Amino acid sequence: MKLNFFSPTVFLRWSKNLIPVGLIVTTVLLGIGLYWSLFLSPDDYQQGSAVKIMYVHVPAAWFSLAAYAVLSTMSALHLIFRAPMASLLGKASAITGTAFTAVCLITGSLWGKPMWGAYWVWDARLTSMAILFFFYVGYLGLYYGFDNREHASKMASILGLVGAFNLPIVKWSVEFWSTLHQKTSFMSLSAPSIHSSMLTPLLLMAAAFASYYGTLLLILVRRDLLKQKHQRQIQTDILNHIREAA
Amino acid sequence: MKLSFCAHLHQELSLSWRNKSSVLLQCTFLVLASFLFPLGLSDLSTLETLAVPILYVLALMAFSNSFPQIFQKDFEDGTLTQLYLHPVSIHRIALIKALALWISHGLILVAIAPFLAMLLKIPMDLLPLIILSLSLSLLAAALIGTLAASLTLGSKNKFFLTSVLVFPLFVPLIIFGTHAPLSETWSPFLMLLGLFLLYLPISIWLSGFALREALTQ
Repeated sequence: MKLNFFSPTVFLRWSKNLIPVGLIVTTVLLGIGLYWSLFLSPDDYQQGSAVKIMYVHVPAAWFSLAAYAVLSTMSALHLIFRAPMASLLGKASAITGTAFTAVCLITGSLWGKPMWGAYWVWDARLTSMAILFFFYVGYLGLYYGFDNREHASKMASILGLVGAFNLPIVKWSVEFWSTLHQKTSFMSLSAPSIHSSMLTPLLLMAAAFASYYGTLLLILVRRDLLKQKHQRQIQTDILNHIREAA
Repeated sequence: MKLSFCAHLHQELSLSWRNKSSVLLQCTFLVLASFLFPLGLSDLSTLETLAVPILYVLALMAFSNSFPQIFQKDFEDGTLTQLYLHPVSIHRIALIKALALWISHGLILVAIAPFLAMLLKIPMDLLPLIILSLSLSLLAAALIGTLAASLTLGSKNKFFLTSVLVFPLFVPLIIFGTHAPLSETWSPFLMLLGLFLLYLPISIWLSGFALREALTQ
């Protein structure tokens, strides 16, 4: 049996059963992960309980990047194969990715205040995260910026490709800039080796984020497909009406 | 009728020569903004470290003022459709637009840069390097602007969109452009050149694609 994921009918049939499963898996993983990370994992000897922000911050950062990877892949598929489903998946990925990036930036600045003494530090990682956020905003702006939906999705997909070329360059240039300027290196940029008592809840939270991301993607694309179907139904109804009246 | 590359470029340049308002607008913006900036400083000795970045950021912002209008007029009066129906490649239209924008708008900014450098107290021996790196940055910026303009062509809110699209792509230009005159090595210049060579195919290819979509939608 061939599973054609880019066919709207197949997608609608599969997502109907997949969404409840995804929601249950997400709730269970998030419950266990949050309980483990908030109550069972130890405090850091330097940071105290503020280290627990990490369990939300780090998975959000990982999945904001993963969502952009999905977005640019879907953009390429949309432009090459002219598959409308790919553009819907890309847009859904952009919405979730924007939310993850915002969560990452907000939790990061809340974590930064007690640790570094400032909500914002001009560091390579923070700066490139903020730029990733602007790429997402640009993509969604293009997607909603035209009256012609099909044209809008094509333009947004082109931007998704441009971002895929440019994000590595931007990231690399910002790193060049920060190594040039960073006089006060009060934080260790290399990831400290993490103890398993912290790693297990972190990976659990990452799994919860992954399942949340997947489920949200299915829900958003399903909503769009049903909306399109509904609109087509209305159009044919109107046409039939006119035909009968004539 | 065949339209040669040079004739096409000449046509674009004479069009922007007849319509000087956007060139005047960006030059006025740059001059006034760099005049106002030192007035905002309480300690004028900080101008020494700020001057080069101020000049770069203001020049790129002034340059990006004209981005939303690159294709707008030609799109509205049908020139773009005529050119598209001609045996002129759509990618060449984008390339010529970018080149013409750089010559008519970018090089004017480079030409008034020495005057602004004097206002901002930039040492005169830095000037040749600033002119070189500013013209390279503006050349890459013209390509970015052409891409953004073709993506937002016909959009409802193209001024907002163009600035959102252009800003993240300016990051490497600002970083390497401002470091180039102050650095002891030539590597930032080579980086700028590399950025230009990278943006050239990406921007021309993708904006040609976007233009064709906008014309045939």
